[in-house]
Amino acid sequence: MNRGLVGRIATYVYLIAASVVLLYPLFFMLLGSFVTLDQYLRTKIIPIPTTLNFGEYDKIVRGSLGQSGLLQAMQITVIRVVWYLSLSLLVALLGGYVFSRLRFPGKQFLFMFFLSGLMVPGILISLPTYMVLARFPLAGGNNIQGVGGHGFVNEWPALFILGMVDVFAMFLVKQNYDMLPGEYEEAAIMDGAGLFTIIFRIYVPMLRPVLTAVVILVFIGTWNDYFYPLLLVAGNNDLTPIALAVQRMIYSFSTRGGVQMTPFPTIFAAATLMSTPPVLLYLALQRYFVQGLVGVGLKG
Amino acid sequence: MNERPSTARLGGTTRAASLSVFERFRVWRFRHRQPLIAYVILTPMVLYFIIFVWLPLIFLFVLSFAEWNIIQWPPVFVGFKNYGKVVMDPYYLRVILNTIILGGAVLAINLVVGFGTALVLNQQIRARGVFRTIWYLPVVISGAVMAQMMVIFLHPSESGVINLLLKMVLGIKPVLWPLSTIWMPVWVVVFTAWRSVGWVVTFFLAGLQSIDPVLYEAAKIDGANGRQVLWYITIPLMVPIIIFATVTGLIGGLQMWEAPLIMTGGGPGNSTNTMVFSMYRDAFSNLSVGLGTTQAAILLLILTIGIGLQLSFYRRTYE
Repeated sequence: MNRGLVGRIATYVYLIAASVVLLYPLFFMLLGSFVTLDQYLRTKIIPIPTTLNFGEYDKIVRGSLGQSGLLQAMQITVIRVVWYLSLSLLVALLGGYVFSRLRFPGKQFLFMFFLSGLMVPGILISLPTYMVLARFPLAGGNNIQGVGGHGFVNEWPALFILGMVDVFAMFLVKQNYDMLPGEYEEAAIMDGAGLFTIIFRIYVPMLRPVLTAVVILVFIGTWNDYFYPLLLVAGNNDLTPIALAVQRMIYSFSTRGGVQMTPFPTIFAAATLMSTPPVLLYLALQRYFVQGLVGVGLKG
Repeated sequence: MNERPSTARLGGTTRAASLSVFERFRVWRFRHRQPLIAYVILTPMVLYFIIFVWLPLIFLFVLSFAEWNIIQWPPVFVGFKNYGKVVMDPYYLRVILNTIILGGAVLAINLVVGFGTALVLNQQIRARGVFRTIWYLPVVISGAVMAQMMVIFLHPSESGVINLLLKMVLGIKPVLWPLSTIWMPVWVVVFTAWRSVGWVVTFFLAGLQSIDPVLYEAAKIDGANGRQVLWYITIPLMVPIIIFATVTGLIGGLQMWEAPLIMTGGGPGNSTNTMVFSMYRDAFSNLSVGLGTTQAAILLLILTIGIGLQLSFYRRTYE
């Protein structure tokens, strides 16, 4: 009895201490965005805004700092998010259906073909991928042999052409298809339902948790995408996605001069602004998240 | 769909020979419905995959035997020169060692803390959902932006947040973090673990929840204590997921780049230089794509060996 109580208290002490460590930088950022620079420089432990000062956000949004690039960056990022969300959901639903429900010659081989692609880390093939895009035939001034121009580098297709087949999402959805009964589909085929009716009317409602997990993962991945944009469109300011734009802004401010010259609150406001959409999305959908991941690696 | 072969409706013969070409095509199409759908869906995906995954993978090895400065085309073939350099040069050996030590440290922290926390969060405790959310939040936020924020947190002056806290709590003078070859690797590991541990926790939680509760009840009836339940039920059932988390964690940990690229620039004195960062710098700052790809190829080799060892260990133990 006594031992149980001690364990219980220890559990909460651990969880609360860990939460403080995990949240401290985030709250620092959030609170720091509402104070003035004077207040910030007198900070102890964490900035505490006495009034809600939205001035820093105003500077960023209205662009009085010459940072209006952030809004454009956000636009590009939103377009990318929509593109990758629709594409990966479609690929996962169709590909997952094919590998879970259909029988066809070469199925095992094709499944391994895609699954082994999952084992190839995207970042390790970034340099040859850069080369493929830079030497892409007939793109960006290239001739049919891919020579002469700059290909897709610093062009908008570079932001949309990679990662169109999301194998991880497909694998996740396939595992969840496997757990569903097949009777509904058989009944629907008897009634003359086509492929899209079967997938979108019958399976999508049943797959909602895993699809939510895919939405969270793809949204967060695309919103925060940094490395490939740095490689591919760093030379074109009109195409900078939000993560690259904010990181560059913080960098340029923090190297400007001494502590007194660094506009800390503006930095925190930009970082908070860029972190808000993924956090809100996660908070809204997280109920399904763990549920949607159940089944990964069980029958892999 | 509603028109049937006319011969059938007229009560005539239903022999195949009397069907028109179109009707025979429809019969064939229905009989081969499944492979047809599969190939129609998979063909574009396979082509895409060949161009954007397998082709770059082949070029990775081709480029590692060549020299390319990004500007001049085509690359020049140089044989094993790049490999010789990466394997012999103390600079690159240090980078490889850093990658393994820093990545291994992050992996170890993530697995231990992740598994322990998942066990705690799987119990009946108050505000469980809130704690779960808190653990995952750092994963949701941009690592690049947070790494850049760490630079501000680690500012060597008294206004650096970490220095401020140390002064408040322990009363020590500001530490010149960015110049310390001992502390910067530690901060790189701390930052990367902070950022990725939530993913491992969530993953283990999903695994724990897929264990059949009946097993726990049966163990309770048989009088097993908490430690026995953990040792004889939870851990054996979690082994596939632990393996999966170790493999993905290894892949992620050895590819660490956010902290070196943005937080430290590989410094001070190469102490936080990892292979992916060094690959990026060789290619785009030193304009030597060949050396960059060579490091990527070697890292891929290390990863493959690591994963292979884990899987064979798994097979030997459990089959």
